[in-house]
Amino acid sequence: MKNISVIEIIGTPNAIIQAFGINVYNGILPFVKNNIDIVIDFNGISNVTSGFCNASIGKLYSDFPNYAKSKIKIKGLSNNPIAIEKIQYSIDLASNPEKSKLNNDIISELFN
Amino acid sequence: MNSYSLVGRIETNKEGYQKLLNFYNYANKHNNCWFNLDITNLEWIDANLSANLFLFCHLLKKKNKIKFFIDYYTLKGYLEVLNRNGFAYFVVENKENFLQYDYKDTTIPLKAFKTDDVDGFSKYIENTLLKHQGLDRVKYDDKDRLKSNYFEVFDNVGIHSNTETPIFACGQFFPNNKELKFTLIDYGDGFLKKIAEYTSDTDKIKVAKRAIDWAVRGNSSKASAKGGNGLKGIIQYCLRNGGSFHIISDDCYWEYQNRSVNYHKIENNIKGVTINIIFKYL
Repeated sequence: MKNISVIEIIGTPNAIIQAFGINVYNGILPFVKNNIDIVIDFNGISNVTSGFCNASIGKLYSDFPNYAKSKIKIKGLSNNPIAIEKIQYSIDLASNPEKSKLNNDIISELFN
Repeated sequence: MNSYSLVGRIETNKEGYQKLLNFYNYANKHNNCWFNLDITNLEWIDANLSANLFLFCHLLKKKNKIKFFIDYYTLKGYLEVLNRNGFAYFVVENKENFLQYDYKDTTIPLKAFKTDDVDGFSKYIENTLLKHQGLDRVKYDDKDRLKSNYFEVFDNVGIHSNTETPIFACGQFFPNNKELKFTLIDYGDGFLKKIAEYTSDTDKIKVAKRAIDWAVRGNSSKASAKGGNGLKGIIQYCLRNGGSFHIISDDCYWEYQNRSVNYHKIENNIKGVTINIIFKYL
């Protein structure tokens, strides 16, 4: 099992831009292609955005759903509930892209 | 020396923005000269709007080679906030008397960020904005989410705005009114261009107000991956906690407050996006 350290790939505790997510995705690709189990390690990461999550983990789940479900584990997030929420949402969105249109009730009412 | 007078009250609303824009459009007709920014008859300015005014001055300096002068002795009373938050020091050529030092701790100082300065922007939002005394009453969880929302907005600028010009930010705490106002501005393409392209086969959005509505609902035009819903997150905060939220892009001043959205037309706007949030406490 290969440990993939996010902070080592992006060089900062702030995983807040899509470009960093793409770097992480690209860093993981060789292991996907060789069908190697990985742990995506968020130790040292302070901030995470959905833009980052969707470009990295979400895209892995979207492009390689079978691999992702069985061979990706995530660690290092126990003190970061918002990051957990964003990562989970990116995974859900990858499985169900229409989901983003279902959560707009309160906001949609403003425009009716 | 050329001169332009800012007069009356300039607040965080459509009229206030239009006044600052009128200054930019006037000065933009000039090149290679000095400009006196006359504030003798300025009664009030929401100091967070220094972000807008600073972008305008930055563009005029860079493109039009204009140099600015402010009479130090006119920065009296409340207007000395334009000294305390750094605006005067960064803009004028006559820097001798200006020093950015906020002895009242009511400013969130004017700052510029390149679109890849993730650490600088993170530190500013976490330590300067969210730890400001004016946001003491905001719950920790809400601060965490707001932080994340602003990071999403920052990411969007880097992806969509197609600009090398920095993002400018500035805030101001008004303890008497129990309000804190925070402004972020970029000089990018704005909402309409990209969203009109992206929705040309679907929602066919052709006007700025609909483009802003579309973005606030959490839609995304990112080609490679969905998401980045900072604007939606900010409006959700305002829905839960009160306060208001403004987006200025293309010809639209979009304004959310008291559970309704209003749209105002802006005349002769420049490109880019301004985002204002007004935190309010009872």
